[in-house]
Amino acid sequence: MFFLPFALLLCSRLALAIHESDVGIIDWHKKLIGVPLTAPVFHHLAKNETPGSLLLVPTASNVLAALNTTDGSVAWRYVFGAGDDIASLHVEGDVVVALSGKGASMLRSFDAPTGLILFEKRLDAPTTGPTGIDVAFEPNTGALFALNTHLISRVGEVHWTWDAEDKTQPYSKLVHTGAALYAVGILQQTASLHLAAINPVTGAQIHVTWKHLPPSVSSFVVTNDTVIWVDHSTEGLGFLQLVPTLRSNIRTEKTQRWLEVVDVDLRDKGLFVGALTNGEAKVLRAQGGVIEAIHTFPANDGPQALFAGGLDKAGEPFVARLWTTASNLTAVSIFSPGKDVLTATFPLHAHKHGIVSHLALDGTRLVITTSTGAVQLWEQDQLVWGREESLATINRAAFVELPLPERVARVNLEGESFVSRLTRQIGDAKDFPAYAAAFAQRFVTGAPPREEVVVSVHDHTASLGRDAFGFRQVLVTATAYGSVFGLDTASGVVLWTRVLGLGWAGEGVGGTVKPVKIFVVDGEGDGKDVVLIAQRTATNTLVDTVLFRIDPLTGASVSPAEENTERLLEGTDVIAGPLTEAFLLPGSDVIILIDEYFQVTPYPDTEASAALVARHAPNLYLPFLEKFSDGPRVVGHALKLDPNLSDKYVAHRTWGLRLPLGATVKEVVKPHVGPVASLGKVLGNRTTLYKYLNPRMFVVLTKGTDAVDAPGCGVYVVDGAKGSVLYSAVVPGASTADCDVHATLTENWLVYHYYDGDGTREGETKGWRLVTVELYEGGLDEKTQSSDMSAFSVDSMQVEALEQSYIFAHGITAITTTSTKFGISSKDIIVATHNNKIHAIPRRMLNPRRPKDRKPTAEEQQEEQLIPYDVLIPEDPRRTISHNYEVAQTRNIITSPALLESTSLVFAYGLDVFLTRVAPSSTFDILNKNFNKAQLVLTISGLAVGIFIAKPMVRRKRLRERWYN
Amino acid sequence: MFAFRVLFALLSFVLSAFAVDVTGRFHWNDECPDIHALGPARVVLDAGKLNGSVLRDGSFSIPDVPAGTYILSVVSHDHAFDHLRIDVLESTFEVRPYSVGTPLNPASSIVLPQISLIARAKHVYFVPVDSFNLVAMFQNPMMLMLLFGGVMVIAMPYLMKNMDPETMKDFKEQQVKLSQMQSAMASGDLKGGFSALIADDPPPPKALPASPAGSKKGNNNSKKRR
Repeated sequence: MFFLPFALLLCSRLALAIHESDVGIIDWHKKLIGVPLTAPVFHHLAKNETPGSLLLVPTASNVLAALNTTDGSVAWRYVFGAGDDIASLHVEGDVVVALSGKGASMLRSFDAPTGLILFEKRLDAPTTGPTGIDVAFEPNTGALFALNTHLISRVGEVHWTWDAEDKTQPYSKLVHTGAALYAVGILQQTASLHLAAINPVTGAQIHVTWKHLPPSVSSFVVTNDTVIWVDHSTEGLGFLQLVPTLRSNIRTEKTQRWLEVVDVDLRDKGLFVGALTNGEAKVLRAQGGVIEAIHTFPANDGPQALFAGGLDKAGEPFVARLWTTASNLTAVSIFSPGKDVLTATFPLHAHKHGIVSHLALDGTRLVITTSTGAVQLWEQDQLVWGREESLATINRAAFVELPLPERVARVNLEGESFVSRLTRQIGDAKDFPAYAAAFAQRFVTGAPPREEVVVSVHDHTASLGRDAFGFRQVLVTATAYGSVFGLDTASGVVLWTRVLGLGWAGEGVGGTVKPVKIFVVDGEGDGKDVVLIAQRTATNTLVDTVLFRIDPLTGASVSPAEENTERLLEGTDVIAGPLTEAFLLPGSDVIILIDEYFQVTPYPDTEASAALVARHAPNLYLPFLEKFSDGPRVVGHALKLDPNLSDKYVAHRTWGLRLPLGATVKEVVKPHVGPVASLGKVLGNRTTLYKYLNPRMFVVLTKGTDAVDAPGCGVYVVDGAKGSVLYSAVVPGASTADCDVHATLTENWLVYHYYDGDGTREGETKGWRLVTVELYEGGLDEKTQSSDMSAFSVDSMQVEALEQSYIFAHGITAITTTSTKFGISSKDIIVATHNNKIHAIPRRMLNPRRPKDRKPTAEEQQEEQLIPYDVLIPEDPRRTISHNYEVAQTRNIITSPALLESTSLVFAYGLDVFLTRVAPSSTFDILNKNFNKAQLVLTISGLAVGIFIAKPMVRRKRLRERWYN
Repeated sequence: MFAFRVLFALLSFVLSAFAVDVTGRFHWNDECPDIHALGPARVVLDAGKLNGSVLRDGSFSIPDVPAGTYILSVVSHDHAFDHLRIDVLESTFEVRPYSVGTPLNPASSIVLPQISLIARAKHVYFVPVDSFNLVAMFQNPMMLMLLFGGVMVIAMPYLMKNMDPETMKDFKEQQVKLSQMQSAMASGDLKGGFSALIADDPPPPKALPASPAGSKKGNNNSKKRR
């Protein structure tokens, strides 16, 4: 049975399979880790391993990653599963310990050089949510202690768990001194410092106590065996030495006015930083119950100060302070006991990278992470490498076709004088020698010029121009961190980076900008513009809708026009309030924005677009999600203008999608719109099934609730004009409330994927299912001309669905179809699977007319290329378009046609980003790269030789015939 | 409050009583020689909510699995593994072979002693480039026929020349038969064509005098030339 898929593989065509030599030429892949959550940790590899050091970091994408410090590449990464959120990270020696999951109770220990998991253990979870998590290591034994709120577990050869009697005491720090294991926590409500001393070997409690603290103390630092805090009311420093009896007294230091104490991760060296109210900062050392200042950083000349500490390879401690100078440079001064203080300044472009959020230090090497998700390693004032990790949080992306090269586009034949034509032609002729050389080379070697077919790493400073086949486009991506990137689809190079500005909220208020919609509209001349609609949430809770119109080639704002891109990208506020929905008016470049009161605001705000809205208004039906108290619902709207109430069109409800009780809308899937090449499907017996091509169709996915009799997951195809359901199915989920259904709709073809966990009855099975549905206007040769029909025609409800269900071996996270320029090529389904692959499923496999229990007839095979039904979709690794690349946690896949009809560009984004080209019907419009030119040439030359030999023979023979006839 | 605590304790006891850690081990083979070759992999039950990572020593553990029937699969990027049916009982679990697409019930009668995962195949994503091969090109039947035809065109006159006159005559007759059959075929007279081929004696139709005459001419020609 196992070999069945492989047997099928052998039979299937290899049209899509790629050659190893194409890797990196037709595709690119960026392996990302996500935006760091905390400051990265430098880790020096042991001497017997490969030399070098790693940068260990937990990220917001729920990844634990190790970066090579030499070039910033990913050495290894561990992607935590859903519901297994990383809570903390601790490094000791070659062991990396991470706590994750519900209650932070999952403890995993990784081998730092390789990233392999040494052990995985579920600890006891606290009764309340975890508030304090810490890990302490026992020297020499390899054992470790994990603190989780009120529980302490020892993990090692001897295992014990200590639980505080009073569960309300949230301990947050764990300190292992030779004498005892201490847990320290602060409870601000009762203004108390809680301490517990435990025997590290047996887990027996030595002593538990608490001490009064001033109520203004909210945080503390533990270093060596001393607990230190700042009392903000008196600006004094308080500290307490930890002894097993916990009988030591609180002491205070009030000669200086203290602002805060900062932990710089040099606990073993007893070092920490105390900031003073006058802007100075002191490096302090706590030892034997005494605190001494060993260095003073002078007051900053600018705002923001970050402190970090680290050990270099020799184990020498370093402490650094980073701040922004008055002249907007980033300055850092590094102190090491017994050495000179090193100060360096380097430019960090705030308009590109925001501000520094974390700092890590290794000797004189600095790693910074920024508010826009960049990770950079600086060697004094030299940037060694940088990573743009916000690309792991792309939430909107669009392909933009490049304009024609200037040379072709600017030709204006009419009204061109003789002289100007001559100069133009002479100008063009200067390219002729290069062209001729390329032509000759192409003719002789058969190798196509690289520019045209082979899309590879270009010099991205060269001007952006369309290539012959349209493989080169600009991919505009907007991330959750408010940054926008322009990527070259040919090489993956970042062409430009912009950070979205905050508008009025930028001046002292602050806030975040989250992109919600992206549209590509016609720009000036031949080019295109990208319209990005974002929601700005200011820190004072005001929400506004901001629109950015960007030139995809440079990243510059088109309106308001800007010359200088060396600053934040500012847009225009279009709606004072949140956006409900935005649509592009069909056949135009006008976007209509609907605000929370359902008022319609056209963009651009011109008379022409107002007139266009007025013209379209009677025929415009806008279905969108509306929030109700019991969850979102799909509601259809029509537009109405009431001059007495408002000068804007207002959307009013016309229909609502009625769902079974307990079902709520999970997702609305819009159809893939593209040219439709044929209105019907010709069958083997020369009859036709006419496609049901209703342009208003869309898919609604619903989920049930936890209730026992709740409906399962629903898939509905709905007519957007009147809300009638054209196709519906109820499918089981992994559990009723967890509907992992994915769907895609194009033309009349719906494909959806779900998990069937119900199949435990006899003859059934559990597993992932892929269902393919085609909607037709009726039976054989019946047609209603659905594509041109009015939405209110009686015939519009005449739909016939053909469907088939298959078992698919993998869970998926995203699904889409390919799209080509004219829609003639067959469409493949592209899915992102749980095992981190992007996989193409050929249309032939998903034809709902695959005959069951019989062989397709010869005509059917010829006309429709039908193959017999098989319940299992074979797993063909040659259809894995991401091949060796690991494309993790893909959230969405978008496709775009190239200029070649056969080829479609596929872009998958999630944690990683990946772009490739696919040709579902093979590249029929371009000579195959493997075309055997040598054979052609040899055959022709063989024939020529044949003629050369045969010609005199024939001539002789004919001569002879003349003589002797 | 106390009652609640007792209930909670009981509940947690019940839960712990019916939850089992499903553990197993990978065994390395040529397809997947070690943990480094395997890469990041996860062992999952059903849709993946219950899962465990593969440790450095090749073992894995899926903690706290409630009683029930599950399908165990390996989420691995580069390798294909068998699926297994796991029946979690009160304190243990049973392992049975399972292949995708077959009914889950009735259960297979084979019970495996433990979960032992062996890579069945390493995925090959690429097809080799068909490079140009001169020998392979000439091994192509079409090419062979072409070559044979070409050789015959050149060599035929010499072969004919060196032929024994008797054999020559036979050969000519055969050719006549063949050409007759061909013309009969073309005119749709299948029967006639076959009978012409099968018949021992050359039938006396008009075609006969024409071609021997031609061939005699050819013979004469060659004699004359000498």
